[in-house]
Amino acid sequence: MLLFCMALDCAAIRRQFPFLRKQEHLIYLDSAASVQKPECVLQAMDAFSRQKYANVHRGLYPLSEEATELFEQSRETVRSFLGARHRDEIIFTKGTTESLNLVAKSWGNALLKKGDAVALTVLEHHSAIVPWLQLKEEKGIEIVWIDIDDQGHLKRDGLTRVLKKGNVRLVSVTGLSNVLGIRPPIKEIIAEAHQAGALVCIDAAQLVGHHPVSVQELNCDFFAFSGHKPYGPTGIGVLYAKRELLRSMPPFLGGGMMIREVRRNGFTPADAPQKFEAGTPPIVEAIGLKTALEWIEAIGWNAIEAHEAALMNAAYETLGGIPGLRILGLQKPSDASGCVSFVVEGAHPHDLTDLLGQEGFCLRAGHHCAQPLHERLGVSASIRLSVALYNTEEEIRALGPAIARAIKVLAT
Amino acid sequence: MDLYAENILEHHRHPRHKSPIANPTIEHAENNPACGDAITLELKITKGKITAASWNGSGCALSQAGISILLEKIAGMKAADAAKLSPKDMRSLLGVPLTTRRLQCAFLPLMALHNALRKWKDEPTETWPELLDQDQG
Repeated sequence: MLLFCMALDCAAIRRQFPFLRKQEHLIYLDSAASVQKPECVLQAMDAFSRQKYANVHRGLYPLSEEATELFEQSRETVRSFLGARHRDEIIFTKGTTESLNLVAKSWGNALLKKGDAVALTVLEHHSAIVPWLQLKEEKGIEIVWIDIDDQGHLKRDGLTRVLKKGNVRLVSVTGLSNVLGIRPPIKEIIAEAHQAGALVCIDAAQLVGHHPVSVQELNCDFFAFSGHKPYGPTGIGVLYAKRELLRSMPPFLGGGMMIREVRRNGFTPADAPQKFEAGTPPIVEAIGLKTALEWIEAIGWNAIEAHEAALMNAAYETLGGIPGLRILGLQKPSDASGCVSFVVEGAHPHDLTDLLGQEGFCLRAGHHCAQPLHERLGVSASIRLSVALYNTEEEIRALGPAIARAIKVLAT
Repeated sequence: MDLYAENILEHHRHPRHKSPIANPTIEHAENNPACGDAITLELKITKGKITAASWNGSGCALSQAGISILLEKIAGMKAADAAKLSPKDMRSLLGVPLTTRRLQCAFLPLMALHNALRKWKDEPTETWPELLDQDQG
């Protein structure tokens, strides 16, 4: 049976996470905020730090040469993981936020002028919103919004309408909502935006840990993610951009590494990717990220997607059976992945997650850095349940009675 | 003792002073945008004394119970004394251990009171760093 072949040995996966070995009483359902790391990632970073560490692209001694080679191999792993054409299209940053800021502050600042528009969706995370609002303040560009329906689906006619205005130069859209777990149809959005002459930037912070991607197949122009969502470390992120775009973009930060030559009266920037990597890069983190991406690929996307679909089913079933609890957005688990958010009548999200935390359940409450989305949904805060490979259906089902107990404590 | 002690839950379930007063001397609103806690405070001040107080708002149990408890405390108090209530006083009024991430919920009522009184005296309002600086933990 096909399903059998794809099945994931969750117990074996769990054994690879030191976090779970130590903290057996914890049920970690906050992987959308940051994912726990498997042993191999921790070991790779540790071994590199102990035995192979040196700064990269600077020394000509063998240790530095080897560190540089390993660092550049990480870039190659990312290229292959994203299905990018060229290695120099992969820029290391410190996270999705910096990647998205790089797009706005380099490409946006150099190429947008007053009257040009950037289209955002109400699903976006603040890191895909604020850099463009800053540019609006600085340069007078226009921000236009694409709305969602009550289930969280992007209104496609809304996209068509904003593109018709003719001044949209870029559409920035999430690949997977960090609140609703919905995946906008980015491939179609990219095709439609390109027809209207607009570029597309994908915030893939959530997407990369849950589904396979190919930036060439998507034909996206920019694609950003963080290391600590796909089982890697914090402190490293990636911006993918098409080679010809990177050529036209001015450097982001100034400093060492990003130059070809510095004179007293000026400088000539290096070529990409170094042009956008001023200062000593996150070297150890790059080794960790490479190991994490290889770990994901070794497990295989079919097994990952099947396991997480079962987790989402369990989440919807569990939450759906609790009186007074309202799931935000998608009402069917089959459309959702990674996370689901909800509110409970009469119980503030902070109180509820505080009480759940006392029982060992780790869930996030708040606006999850998506205030425009919460405003659209008509709630000030929500509770988010998010999953990763190390979660089990039993863990999620245990949450049901715990939520019911917390509601009882808070009942007025 | 935990955060959701009976005292907190009791005020959360049965908030005191949550009905408007006639002709308030001053009205002031504070909120924590990060979590949606909001408190609007109304004070009637006669001859330097707080003769009536009421509030309205929404948010977590801690912030809402906190303002209910605080308003019981300041009834009849001199405005000048109420303005001096410190984070330490607020901690003892709540009587529950506070973790760092709940400090803004716990102190929002105090900030609403401080800033209502500062507004009344035409003084600049207090900021979070200023308020948290007074907190000795």
